[in-house]
Amino acid sequence: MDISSQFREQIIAAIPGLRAFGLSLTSRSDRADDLVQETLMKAWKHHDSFEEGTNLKAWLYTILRNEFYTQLRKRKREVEDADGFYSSKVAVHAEQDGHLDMSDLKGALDKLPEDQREAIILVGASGFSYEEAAEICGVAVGTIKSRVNRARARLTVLLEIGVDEKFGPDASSEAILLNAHRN
Amino acid sequence: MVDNEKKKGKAKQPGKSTHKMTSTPAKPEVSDLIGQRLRNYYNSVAEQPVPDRFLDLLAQLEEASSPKKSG
Repeated sequence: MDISSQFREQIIAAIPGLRAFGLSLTSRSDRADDLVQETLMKAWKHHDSFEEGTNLKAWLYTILRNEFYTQLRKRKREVEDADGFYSSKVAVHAEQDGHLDMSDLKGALDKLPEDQREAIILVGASGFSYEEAAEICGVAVGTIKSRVNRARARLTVLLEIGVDEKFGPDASSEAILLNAHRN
Repeated sequence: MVDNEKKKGKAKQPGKSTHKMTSTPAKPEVSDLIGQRLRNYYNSVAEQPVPDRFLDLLAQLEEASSPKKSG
C-alpha cells in the first residue's frame, strides 16, 4: 500500500476548511475536531476509492458530512431513548435567546435546519460551486440552490438585517419610545 | 452637493418605481452582507494553523501503512 505524499499534502491542506465546516455543522469545536479526525482516518483507510484527478477536497467534505449525520442519528436515538422527547429540543433552544446579537451568526446558523445550514456554508463560505455542493450532499443542484436561498432568507430575518427595531428594546428604539411618552 | 450626487445616481435607474424589488426575498446587498459574515465566521477557523493532533495522526497513519515497517 503506497499512499502518495501528494495525497497526504492535499489532505493537510484541506484540514483548516474541514474544521470550519465541522464547526458550522456541530457548532462545537470539540465535536468538529472529532469529525475531522474521523474524516482523516476514513480518508486514509479508503484512499484507494478516491479517483486521482477528481476533487479531493469535495471527497473529504463528503466523508465529514456523512460522519456528521451518522453521529447525529446516533445521538438522536440516544436522546430519544433517554426521554423520548427529542423533537421539542429545537423549539426550546430557539426560545432561549430571544434577543440575538447582531454579530451572532453562529447562533443564527444553529437555528437553521441542517440541510440549509450545510448548503449555505458549502456555497457561501467554503467556496464550492452549486454543482460541487450538490455532489457532496447527494442531492440535485436545484435542491441546493433552493436550500441556499431559504437559508439566506432565514438568516436575513434572524440577523435582523435591515429590520433593526423588529425585536424591540435596543438603545435606539428605547429612545424613540421615551420621546413618544414625553409628548 | 452630496445630495445632488445621490439624486443623479437614483435618476440613472430606469423607471421611477422600485416596488418590484420588495418582492425578492433577499436583496443583493443583504446577501453580500450575509456572505461576508459567513466567510468571516468560517475563516476564523479556516485561517488557524493545522493543530498538531492532526499532523501526528497522519504521521501515525503513514507509519502504520508504510511497507518499510519492521515487524
